[in-house]
This record gives sequence, C-alpha cells and structure tokens, in this order.
Amino acid sequence: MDGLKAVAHDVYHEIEQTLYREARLICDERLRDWLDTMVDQEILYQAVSRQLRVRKDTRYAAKDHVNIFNENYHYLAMRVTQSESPMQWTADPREIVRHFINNLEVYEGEKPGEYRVFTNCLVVRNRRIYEEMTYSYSRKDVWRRDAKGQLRLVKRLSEVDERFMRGKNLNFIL
Amino acid sequence: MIDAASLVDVKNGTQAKSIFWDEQIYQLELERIFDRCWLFLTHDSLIPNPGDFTTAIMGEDEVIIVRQINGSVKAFLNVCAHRGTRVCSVEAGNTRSFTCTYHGWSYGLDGSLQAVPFENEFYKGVLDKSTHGLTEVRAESYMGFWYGNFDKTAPSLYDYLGDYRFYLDVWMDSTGGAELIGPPTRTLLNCNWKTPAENFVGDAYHVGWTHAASLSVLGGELTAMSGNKMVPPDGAGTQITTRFGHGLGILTNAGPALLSGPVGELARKWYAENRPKVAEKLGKTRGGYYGSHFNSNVFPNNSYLWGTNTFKVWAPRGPRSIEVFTWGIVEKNMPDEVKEAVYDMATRTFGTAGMLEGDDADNMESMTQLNRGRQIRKGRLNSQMGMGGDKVDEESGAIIGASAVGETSYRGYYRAYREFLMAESWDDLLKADPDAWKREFLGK
Repeated sequence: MDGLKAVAHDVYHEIEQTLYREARLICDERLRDWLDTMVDQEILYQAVSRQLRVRKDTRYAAKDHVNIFNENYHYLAMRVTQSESPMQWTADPREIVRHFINNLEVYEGEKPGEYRVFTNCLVVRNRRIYEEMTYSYSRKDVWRRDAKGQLRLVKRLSEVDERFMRGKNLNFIL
Repeated sequence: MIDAASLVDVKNGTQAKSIFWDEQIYQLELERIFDRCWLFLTHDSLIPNPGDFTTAIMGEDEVIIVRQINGSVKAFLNVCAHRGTRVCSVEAGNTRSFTCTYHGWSYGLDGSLQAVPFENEFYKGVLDKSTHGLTEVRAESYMGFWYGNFDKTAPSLYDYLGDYRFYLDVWMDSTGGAELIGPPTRTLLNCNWKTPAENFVGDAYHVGWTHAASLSVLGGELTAMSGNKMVPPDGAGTQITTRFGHGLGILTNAGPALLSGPVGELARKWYAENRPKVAEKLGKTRGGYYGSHFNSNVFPNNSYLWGTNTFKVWAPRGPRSIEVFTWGIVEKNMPDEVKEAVYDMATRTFGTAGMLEGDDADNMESMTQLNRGRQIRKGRLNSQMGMGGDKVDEESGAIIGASAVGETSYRGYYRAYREFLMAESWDDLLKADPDAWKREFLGK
C-alpha cells in the first residue's frame, strides 16, 4: 500500500500514546517539557495554507502554498520562551488549546527507528471570555528514536484545511 | 444623517469612538472612501505572464486582475453580466477565459463576452453581447504595485500618492524595485478596518509594550525596547503624514530590528552594501532612511512594514470585522538567500502564526467590540502625542513629527478620513489649494 510498511502493534500503541502525551503537554501549557523531552534538535516544523487554484491549471508558475510555520529548533525554542514571558499578554489570562487527534496511521520510516505518522487533528482553542475557535488540519510527522530509545519529533508538516482562517491566527503548537 | 465633521477633531487630535462601530458611518465610508480611493490589487511579480490573474477585494467588491496578451493589465468586477454569479472562483492562476459556472457565459481576458451557450437557439438575436462584458475597474500601477479605483474622476495613482512617493521610493525604487511573495495568507479579525490601519500608519508607541514578550526573545535592535525599558533616543526616527492620509513612521537604522542571528547578519550586510548606492540615487536623506524600519499605510487600508518585510490589506467585512491579506515583500535584487531569510522572518513575525501578529489582534478587537456599549461608544479617542512638534518638511513636502514615537501620522490619517467623508466628490476634494491641508493640520 503506497510502498508503506505498517508497524507492529506495540509500536503503533507507543506512537499513539506519544501523540496523546504531546497533546496533553500542549493543553497543560508545558511547552518547555514538550520541547525538552519530545522534540529532536533536527526538527523541521512546518505548517502551510494552500491557495485555491483551478485543478488543471499547470501554466501559472507561482507557488501555491504559503508557510504559516517554517521553524527549526532554534526558532521553536524562541517561541516557547516567548510563551513563558510574564508579558505575553495574549496568553494571560490563560488560553486552552485542546487537540483531538484521529485517523492515526504509523509506518516504518526511511531508517530503522524512524516512523512516518499521519493524523487528522481538530483543535478547539478557548481564550478570553467570548472566543472559541476550531481548526481542522492534517499532520504528516516523522518520529525517531534517540540514543535512549525515546521517541522524538523530527519533522511535522501540517496542512490547514480552512483557507480563510476564522480562528484569526495559529499562535499555538499544532 | 451623519455629522461627518464631528467625527474627527483635527485641531484637538481626537476622534469619535463610533467610527469603529456604527453601520451608517461604515456605509458612508464605503461610498466616500472605498468608492473613491486607490485600493491595492496585486503586484507585477504575481502576474508576470499573459493570462496570469489574481483576485482581490476592493471595499467589499470582489475583483479579478489579469495580464493581457499585450502585457497590459486590466481589472474587472468578478461577476457575470447575466445573473450575477462569480466568473472566477479561484484566487490566482493562468487562463484564456473566465467562464461562469451557472450557464456557461464565457469572457475573454479583455472582459468581452465571447461565448453564450445556445445563443442563436435561445436568444434569437435579442442579446447584445457587446454591452454584456465584465465591468472594468480602473487600474494603475506604481513601481509594479497595482491599485484599482471605482471613481473615474479620481486623480491618477501617481498624484494620489503625491508627496508620499518621496518615502515610498526609498524601498520600492532604491535597489531595483520590490516584489511581493505570495500567495497571501487570509485571516479573519473581529475589528474595524481602521484599527490596524491606524496602528500601521503611525504607532511606534505600542511596540515596546504590546510586543514586550516577542521583542524580548527575537534578539534584534528592538529587543532593547521590550517592556518599555528604553525610550528611543533623539534622532531615532520620525513620523510622516501626507495630503490624502498616507503616512509612515521611520526607526532609523532599525531595518533588521527583529532579525537576530544569521538572518540579521545577512540583512545588515545587504543594507550596508546598498546604502551608498541609494544615497547616490535618491540623495543623502533617503540614503539614510534606507535600511531603516518603516511602518506605513497607503490610505485607506494597505499597510506594510519594511525591515520586517510584510505587506497587508485590511479588507472590511462590515464595520466590525475584516479579512487580512498578508504577503511577503522583498527587494527584487536581493540574492535568493537573503529573500528567503527575510521572508521567513516576515512569516515568523507577522504571518498567521506570527510572534507579533497575535499581540495586535487583541487590541484591535477590543477597540472595536467594546463599542457595543452605548456609554463607551459616546466617548472620544485620543491621538494627541507630539502635537505642537509637527512641521512641514521642506525636502519632501510632507508634515513630519518631532520624534520617533508620536501620533502625527494618526492625526494625518484621520484628517484625511474626515475630508473624504465630508466631500461630495473628487472635484470637491481637489478644490482646495494643495497646501490647505497643511494649514488645517498645523492649526495655522
């Protein structure tokens, strides 16, 4: 199937638990823990929005997607530090970013100890008194075992479904 | 009936809060500002070839901008002349025609109605195709930036920009022109369209406080301002306003102010290399401005930041919400490596997940939504900072403020806003002598 090799059930279960843990750390605002324990130093963390085009249009040369995130470890760490600032007014009072993760598929990656992980995500974000917004997107991840056997996120590409983003911004970990 | 004159007090630098809420005022804005002013459409770099097109929003009207076979550019309302359906439901592309999905009426790149299914069988000669083309919208460009105007009596784009071009040219012309990087992001904000426009036209005051957290980690020159720990010193910059409300703020030498590390080094090197060339081309003053941070707004709703390299349109959707379009803006002759680095940084700061983008949104939304309250809505907004220090700049013809932080450009924006709302027509607007606005602004 697509040349993808499914993983054994125990690995599938391990990845599933890892994704849930990640979602819990984000919801609990433990972004430093997330960065330290779940993110690889070689991370490429991307999210895109796609411009709407005619399907058969092959003559228009301009790229059809725009980056929302295009971060390496350095910049992800910068964002985490920003979130910890007592002067980050947008996050005080606190926001709640709750992930609902579905349609999990896990396959062997290019190297041993690497896994390709596909998910669908729904995020409900609550902030201030009157704001609740939802975001639907797909994730294509690569997770890899580090020297200690711990799974770490090496690559994430999120594609956000909504072209006109009613949730105003994506200032959270997707 | 709206008393437009009372909405802005030019002499005292205040505005009525109702301008961020009231439906009747909004309808007057659509008629007297968006029906009259030059509104941003696209840039040459996004439609380089014949048949290339993008779509845009002028006021609340959807338009198509398309490169013609002969290389010229035309703009049209995105609506079929038959039953009023969209003729283009995508955002950009390359095409030979625009065909309505309802009954299949098809229009050429020049907007002419080319084909009507079963024309002979069903219309039997009663349909005059020559009068059923797409409705054309006046379009003109400056330095490759295309703007549209619904008013045939409006001055040219060149004259509309007027003295503002003195500053626009610093970045748009200096090193061989600018280009936009698309596609744009498109987001909703529940704010009045003027709240971001006034912020971009002239608010250096909020930077150290609203963005305290992001500045503290980004690591460029502006980090020192985080949490208002530093007052910009004398000579740190200025604020500028012009005839039709276009304005900007300049933070001297702070072009890469939000760029730390290797990106900052790349940008600083590029600016240092090019500054002497800009000084040679545009003179000493503007050579000094090049490489500085510009916050700017072309009246009414087209904002950009040079140095942070973001370019935006705040398209109104009623008085209390907007669609934000965001592109990257770079100098055409920057090496690809520099372009990519500064564009990445623009995404990181003012994109959909921009480290500063979200900070501003809360301010703009509460400035708008609180006016639900009758008592709050009766109040006035204050933009008096720097009053008394403004003067005419002899070299550019614009009015400039005395320091980097002040509200000169706010006052100029709303002076023009009031003039547009009160005027019956462009003829009415152009009756006064070209310096009358300066006397009004300076209270002389």
